[in-house]
Amino acid sequence: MAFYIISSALLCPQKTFEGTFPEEPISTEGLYLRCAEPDYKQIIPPVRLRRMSHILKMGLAASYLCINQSEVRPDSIIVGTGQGCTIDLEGFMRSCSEGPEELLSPIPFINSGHNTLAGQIAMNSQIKGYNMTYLQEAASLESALSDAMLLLEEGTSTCTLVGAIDEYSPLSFDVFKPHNCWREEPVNNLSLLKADKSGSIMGEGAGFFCISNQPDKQNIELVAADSKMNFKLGASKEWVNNLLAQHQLTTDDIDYLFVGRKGDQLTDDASYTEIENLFPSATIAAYKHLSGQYPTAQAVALWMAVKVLSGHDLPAYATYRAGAKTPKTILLYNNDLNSESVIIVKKG
Amino acid sequence: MNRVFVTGIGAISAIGNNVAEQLQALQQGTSNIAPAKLLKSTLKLPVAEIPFSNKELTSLAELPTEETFSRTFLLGLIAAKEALKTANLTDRSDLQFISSSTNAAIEITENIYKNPEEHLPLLRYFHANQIPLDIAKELGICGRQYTISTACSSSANGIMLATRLIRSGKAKRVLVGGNDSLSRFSINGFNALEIASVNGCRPFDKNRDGVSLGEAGAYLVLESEEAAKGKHVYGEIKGFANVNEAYHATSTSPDGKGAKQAINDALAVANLTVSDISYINAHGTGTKINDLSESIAISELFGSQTPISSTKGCTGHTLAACGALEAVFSLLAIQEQQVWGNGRLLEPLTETNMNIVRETHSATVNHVLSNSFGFGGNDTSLIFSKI
Amino acid sequence: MTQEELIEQLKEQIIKALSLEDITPADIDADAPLFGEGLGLDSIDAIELILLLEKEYSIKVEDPRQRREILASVRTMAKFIEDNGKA
Repeated sequence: MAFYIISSALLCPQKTFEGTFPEEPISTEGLYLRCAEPDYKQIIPPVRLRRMSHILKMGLAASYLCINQSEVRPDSIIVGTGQGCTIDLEGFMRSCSEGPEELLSPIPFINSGHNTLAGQIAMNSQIKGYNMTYLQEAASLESALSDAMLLLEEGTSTCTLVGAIDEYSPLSFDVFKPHNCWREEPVNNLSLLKADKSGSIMGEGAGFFCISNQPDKQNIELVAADSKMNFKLGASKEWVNNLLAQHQLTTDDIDYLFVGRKGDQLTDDASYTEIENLFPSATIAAYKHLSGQYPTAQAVALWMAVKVLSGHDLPAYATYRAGAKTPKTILLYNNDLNSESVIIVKKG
Repeated sequence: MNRVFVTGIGAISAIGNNVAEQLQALQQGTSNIAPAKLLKSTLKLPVAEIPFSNKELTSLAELPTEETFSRTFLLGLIAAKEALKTANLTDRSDLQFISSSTNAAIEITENIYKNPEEHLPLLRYFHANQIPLDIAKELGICGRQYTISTACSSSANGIMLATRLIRSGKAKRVLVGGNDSLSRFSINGFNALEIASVNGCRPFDKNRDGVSLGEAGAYLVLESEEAAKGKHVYGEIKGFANVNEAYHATSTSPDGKGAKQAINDALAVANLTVSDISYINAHGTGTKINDLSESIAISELFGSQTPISSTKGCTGHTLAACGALEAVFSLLAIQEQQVWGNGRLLEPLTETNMNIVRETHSATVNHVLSNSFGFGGNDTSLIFSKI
Repeated sequence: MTQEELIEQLKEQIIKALSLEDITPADIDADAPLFGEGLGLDSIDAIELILLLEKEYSIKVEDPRQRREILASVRTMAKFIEDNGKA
């Protein structure tokens, strides 16, 4: 059975919510990138925006944009979030410790539930079927996508809305600082991939995709979405090869490779070079200098891959290594936070 | 389509450190809801606390006691080890792993977020997927891993995913479950929503006044019929369904619409009818709204004959772990041919007329329906069958 | 403070507590029902309004059954504060 991406929408630090690659990327000096936000009131009925936190607004907007563009109305919702609703989680932790415990507003508690977004989308769009949330750091999107494929295969769904979302929060920035996650000095995002220092810059974003058992005119097939626990530094070449073989593909079939390089001197080459060498003639694209690093940033790559397969040229600012010109089959590879993941999409 | 068998079960909760102890507690109708001894909160609400310090749990989990671990991790590891042991699973090369919690290691993070640099060894617990990865590492699991977080239906959804993976041939065997420990965060959340019980939870009681939170780790080993050949089988997972009510962020609909849909869909998957169900292990949290709407759904579908009970009066509401914990209790009902008493019930609610099990008693148990409902309108029903 | 002044103050506090961003005090009819139609408030808003009474006016509503009457409209809230509080 084949699965098709029939609609996609992305909110990220670049102005991607308009639906195409921006001509000029946003270039800024700092330690993190914030999401370029649309006027939410133009997308979400204002009455629905009340009590919505930052992450919920990003997610609702991206889901609305995605559903509105889809020729088929989704009947199920699966969200993957790497870290969940961290701003409200911190907010409610803070009110608990500051107290008095007897007088706390329940709203940050409600909004800190990691499946709040999937529930809110269901309520707003009245999509009453299967509703799932994966909270799994860098493997969240891949778990959500493979669940969607299984759902379509079973016939439980004919079109599933899959989303990936994470938000910037001062707390997540601070607590991961001692792990060498972030740069010590501000850096211009467009020179991040030089990887001449340790750490990355933080980002945030929401990517949504409608996955259907029927193609639309773009005919973009979601071939595979898989992840693997990886407790060592380095890439599992054999695993990627096996995955290709499972889908009757060889390394030659891959025209474009998206890599999750994040500008970290300590890990970038160890995590990606071997995989890049597997596909010597492929064009390599990178995106974390545009989106910042966050657990579900591979959704940015998936959105870009969908655009490329729909006929848009990969912008020069996202090209890491020039190569094959015509993209037919694209592999996305990410290696981060103890997990490796692969998504394969192709023009049907 | 592959049949899915349960070959291993493991659990720790306020009524026992392992399955055998909890079985005895269910048979004797033991409840453990009392003022907290370990949890620090000024609310002074009754909870179902596991009466062991983290150090004691560390040695129960067979880990070095000089190290500090998350309590949620320890509960998960203890239960997962027992499940693997009962399934006699030493070769873990093709084992997949599905875990769940509501807020990861919140019992750690809520105490250190203000000055993270003073707690370097514990900072890893801010990673939302750290506990499942640590459990996998400890148990030598290297297959595909999934972590679900859908509030109180999390581990029921995990069991559903594991079942679907095995049915479709995408997995041969899966370790699946959930873990959550008591935290100031959760108890304050329920209190702020005005659904925390002051007097101790009494599910389906006329005078119920809310939830008493508990803590637990509960895991199951699911295997395909072929992989389970020659093994002791606790039961088969025949039915499952998950739907969304799309009604309210935290409340269930007054007419139990979502619950009815989940139950009906699970029966359809199992190819069973309401009359086949011998016992219902309800979600039954003890809140005014949940218990009323669930009882409306159950009485409309099943009438007043099918034995039904909530075991949360014994264990408290163990959040993400409750689906897996109650799956274990459902399988024990099949094993023992007994239905479990609805702990702490004094006077049943009057709006509906259900056959609530007052005291544990013997019964013919062929098919058990287990409900788990979560915030965000998330409704899941599972059906466990005798083979 | 007169009842009308208290009503105006309450309207401001309600808008803030419930994040009614697009609503001004003039949009709220002091005698119109707060729940159901009108502002379209729900049970979570009711919790917030009870918290508002506790935090801003130090009045605790012990009996949940009293809530419906107290939170019927801005005027009933103001009356309740006058009868029970120090405002």
